[in-house]
Amino acid sequence: MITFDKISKTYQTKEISVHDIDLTIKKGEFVTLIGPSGAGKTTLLKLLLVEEKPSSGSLYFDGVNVHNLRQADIPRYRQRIGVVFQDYKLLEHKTVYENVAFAMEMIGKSDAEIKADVPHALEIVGLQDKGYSFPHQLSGGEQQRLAIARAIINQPDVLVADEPTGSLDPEGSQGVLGILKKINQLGTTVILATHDREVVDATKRRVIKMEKGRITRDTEKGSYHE
Amino acid sequence: MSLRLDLQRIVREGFINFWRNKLISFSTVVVMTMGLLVMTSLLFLNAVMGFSLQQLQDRVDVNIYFFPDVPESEIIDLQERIQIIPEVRDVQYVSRDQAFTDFQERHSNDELINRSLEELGDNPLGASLNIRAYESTQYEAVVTAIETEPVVANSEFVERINYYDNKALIDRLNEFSTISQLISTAVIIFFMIIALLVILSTMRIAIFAAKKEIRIKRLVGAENRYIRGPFIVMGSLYGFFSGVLAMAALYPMTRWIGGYTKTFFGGMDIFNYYLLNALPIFIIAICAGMMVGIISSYVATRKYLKV
Repeated sequence: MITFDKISKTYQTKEISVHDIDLTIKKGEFVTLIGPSGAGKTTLLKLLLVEEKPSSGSLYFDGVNVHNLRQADIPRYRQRIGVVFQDYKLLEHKTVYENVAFAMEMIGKSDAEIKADVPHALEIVGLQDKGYSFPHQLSGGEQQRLAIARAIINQPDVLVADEPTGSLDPEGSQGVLGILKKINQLGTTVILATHDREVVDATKRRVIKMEKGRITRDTEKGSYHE
Repeated sequence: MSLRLDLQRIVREGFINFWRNKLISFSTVVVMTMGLLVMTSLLFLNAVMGFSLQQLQDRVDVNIYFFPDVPESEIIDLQERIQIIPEVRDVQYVSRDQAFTDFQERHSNDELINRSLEELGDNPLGASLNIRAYESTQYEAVVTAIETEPVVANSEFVERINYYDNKALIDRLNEFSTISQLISTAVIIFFMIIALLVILSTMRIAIFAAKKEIRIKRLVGAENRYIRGPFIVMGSLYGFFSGVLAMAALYPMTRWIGGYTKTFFGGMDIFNYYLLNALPIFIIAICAGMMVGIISSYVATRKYLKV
């Protein structure tokens, strides 16, 4: 489904972020990307989202080189990927309800569908009572859960989560992991970037370790240390 | 997705964003109002300039003075023929009696003249025709046409045509009129460009403030029309409210200045002009505001859509 073909990204500062990555992720897989800060996990996800262009190499999604897509075709591609950003990237001037509804509006869902699905998604992440709140009125954990609700609302082909448990307590982290596992069971491919050891160990799925922009370990049913 | 649903959502979001970004909306509307006030004030300035020049031109005329013994019928005939010259606005016949009465009135306090007239015992003044053209630049053509008339060419009938006495003055007036129109057009264009640039910059700043939001929308898969559309709606709302505010501000302003312009420009009451032309000015202000709002939001968002 997703193939990184000898992909490298070097920034203008000559700093190499990812180097010569060869990686294939199959449909329905649950992949955990681990590694210290600066290992290149986020850059890899940015390349997948066409937020960054690779310096060399190609990235194929269902056989299509996504970096050759026309500017006008990029939104449709991104609509197939739900993303939980490390910094949440919530729309500050929209309420919790509107942030989630916006993702549905983008793909042309009717008002009736939006009215039915958004409360359900908010309930899944435990924000059913915060519909009228604005993101700045939420705690860090709540913002993170809102980002998850937005990412899953359209049942995307791929769910990308960049440090989704970063500002959560262990209980909250397990809750988020439970949601991701559930989404995965429904057929969505999940790519989780984290350095939360407990979360990684609890997934018991494929673990890819990155260090200094390279893949140093790729284990089918791995854990944080092995 | 239906176009109607699309449009409905874009317009709704534009309105919501306009309301929720109160500070940005307020400051943008204030700056746009200032810009529109400058633009509409220039329209008023143009009207005042035009009126003043017209006033000056109205004071210029060409007179044909006849000898006292020229038959009135000849002069009336000539008046009719002059009246059909295309450049002539009107021709006024001043009879000998009227000329005498006017002369007496003008010099009623001059003892010497009064006594001289009494001694003469008869009206020494001839009749005259006062000719006004539509434009001061047309007098030369009018006089040339008049001089071909047999009555005028007859040296026993016409005592004097004062065009040649006033020619230098008329030429200077024409020159002044051309230059002042040129200057006022240049000033209007200059300030309109400044006002437009100020409005454009304000819109760019307003959209710059939403840079992060545009980026987020792009990253979650929003198509350009969904991102740009609400900004265009906001831009047109800025323009609409600025137009309304500018019109509202012009009411007390013109009312206050109107009294002064009436005295200074000899009858031109700018408040009256505002009341008479309120609808076209309102339409110009709103259309200008909305056009600038729409174009600048379209241009400004383009920069941030390349994510």
